[in-house]
This record gives sequence, C-alpha cells and structure tokens, in this order.
Amino acid sequence: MASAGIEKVRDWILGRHPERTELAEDVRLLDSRLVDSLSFVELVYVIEDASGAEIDFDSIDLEDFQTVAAIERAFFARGES
Amino acid sequence: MPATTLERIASFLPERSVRIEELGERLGLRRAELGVFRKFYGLNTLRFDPDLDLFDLLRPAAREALAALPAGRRVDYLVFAHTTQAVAPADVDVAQVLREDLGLADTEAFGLSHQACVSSLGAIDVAAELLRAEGTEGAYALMVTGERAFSPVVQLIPNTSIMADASSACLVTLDGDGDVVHAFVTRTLGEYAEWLRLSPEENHEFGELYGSRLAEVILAAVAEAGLTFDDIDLVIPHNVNMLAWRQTIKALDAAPEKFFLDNIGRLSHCFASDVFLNYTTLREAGRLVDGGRYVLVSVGLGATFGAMVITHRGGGGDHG
Repeated sequence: MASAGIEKVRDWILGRHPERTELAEDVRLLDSRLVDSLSFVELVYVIEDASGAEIDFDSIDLEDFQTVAAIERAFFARGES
Repeated sequence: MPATTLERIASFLPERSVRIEELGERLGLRRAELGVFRKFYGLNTLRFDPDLDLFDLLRPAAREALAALPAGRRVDYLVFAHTTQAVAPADVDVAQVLREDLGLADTEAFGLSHQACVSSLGAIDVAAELLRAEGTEGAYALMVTGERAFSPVVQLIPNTSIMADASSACLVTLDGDGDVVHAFVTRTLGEYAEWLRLSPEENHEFGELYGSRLAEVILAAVAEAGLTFDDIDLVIPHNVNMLAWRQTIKALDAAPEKFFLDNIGRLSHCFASDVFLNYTTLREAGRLVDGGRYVLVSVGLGATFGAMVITHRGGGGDHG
C-alpha cells in the first residue's frame, strides 16, 4: 500500500493538471512533461516536505524522479514495514 | 555566389573554474535549485573570473584567429557579437577598442547583439554578406565573441542555465580553404522578446516549444544545405543545459551521440561563444574530420533559433 507521503506527491502533481483525475505509478513524469523544468524545483520541495528529509543530490539520479513508483522507491521506501 | 568559408576558429577560457555550488549565494540559489541545476540540467563546473578585464578575455581568441590571416591580406570588417546588450560602460565601444587593440586601423568595426546567443552565427552571415556586397578582392572579416557574467542578472537564467566566461573568434572569407558554410537558418519568435521578464505562462509555453522549434530549424538548415540529417556527422550546440538538448534530440528522433554535449557540465553556457568553444574542443580532440558535415546550433533569448551547416576541411594549413 502506498505511503501517505507518496500520496502527497501524487496529489501535488494532479493538482497542477486539473485535466487528469488519476496518475498511474509508471507514467513518465518528465518525458510527458507532467513535471517540467519550471516545476521540478517545486517537486523537490514537495518530496522533501512529504518525506521529512532533505534530498541528497549527490546520491540520487534523474531516474529517481521519472515516475511516481521511482519517487516512492527512492524517497519513501526506506524505514517502512 | 562565392561560398562563405571559416578560415580559423579560436576560443579562450579564463583559468579560474568554479563549481556551480560556489555561485549559490551570489545568484541567490537555494540548495534544491542548485541540485536541480546539477542533476536535471547537467551543469557542474564553469569558468568565472570577476577580476579578468573584458579585453583580456577577448584578446587571446581574437589574436589567434587573426594570426591565420595570410600575409598581404586585409580584414575589411571586425564584428563583435554579444548576447547582453551592455557589456561595457556606455562610453566604451568594444568593437572600436578591439579594432585598435588588434592593430586593424583600416577595418570597419561594429557590434551585433540582437539575436542574443545566436548573434555570433548571425555575425558570420552578416560579415560574409558584406564581403560579397562590397568587400575588397580577397578580403577577410573577423568575428569576435566574448562577454563576462559580470552581474547575477546576466549570469542566471532562472530554471534554464548559469552563464560563464569565455571568448571565441572566427576568421571569415569567401571561397577560401577553410570550412565551407552551406546554409544558415534562423527563426525569431518575437512574442518572447521580453527576455527574462516573460510571465510564468509564457516561460512554460517557451519551454514546451523549445525542442520542437529548434529541431525544425536544424532540419531546415540541413535541407537548405541539400542534405538530410543522416548526412550530418555531429551537431555542435550551445551549452544551455542537458534538458533542452534531450527535448531537441527527442523531437528529432535522433541518436544522442550525434550531439556534442560534453562541455555542458564542464563549461556551462558561455553566451554567444559556445558553438566555437565546442568546435575547438572537438578539433583539438581530433574529432572533426576532413569532409565531415557539422551543424552549429544556438538559441538566443528574445527568441531566436539558429543553425549553420558546414563542411570541415582539415587539409588547409590553418586547420589543426
């Protein structure tokens, strides 16, 4: 089951795209421009706020932001049972 | 019609290299923004020397290119191409100072800037047209670029790039032994003339169309040269960021290895100098082959998309 944190991230993305009602976890966010260069910084802050941890840019990869599933794996999976 | 030929291309970089994180405070960039510039846009280091005088930046590249001028030949035109309209105090005419500095007493010198970072490619086109229209027999023109990221206002293009110091120069003539220019195409979208004062909606719109419009201009230049994109050996681009080029490569449905992007992380976007800087990097690495077809590409705020198709000729004495 998805964590509350990743749901916050999903809600933020959907909130920017009123034409969409759902967002599958494997949709390519960057390639489809659901997240573009202008909103990427905001996405970083949304993830940090939802996960409660600062993102370490030295240890992450662009692929970590490509889908909701990737974001969940990279920033929300640790420490959860 | 006599062909435009590029007889010698030179570039110069200040030695001082900084990581983009060192510019965070100066540019007012937060940690996450710097992280995004590094991870998303592919920026890493750049050359930046606030203590270097503008003319000390311009002189080495200009002199190196000018050194290829054959004995007894004259330079009819010196064109200083720049992105930022004011690169020096109002009482300093950079083109005139440079002309005197280079000892080009009989040369007509002027600046060009209205195509922003495409101004250098545009200046080559203008210089060649002048040579064709009214140049003396066998005359040359010298195009010089170079400007410093002298203020945070010109150094940071929000959500796009961090500008860096560099200079370049190109000695141009007609029907010479150098690289042959086959085509030069530009498209200017005047609705984005407000540069950094575009609304968020306009910025978003510009970001949306950037890759596809740039792809169109590249293909138009290639077609005007009588070629297809498959004939092109390498695209030699501006260093704006990796994202813009990923979009463009996708729009072209092209192989990423056909685009020289190695200098984006090393040198970042150096105003109108990038394509010449990248050209010299490739030449020094032995990656420009005799007879190879290349596209020099840049985009300027304002917004102008430009592409120039050339054939490299490595056999001439001026080409190393």
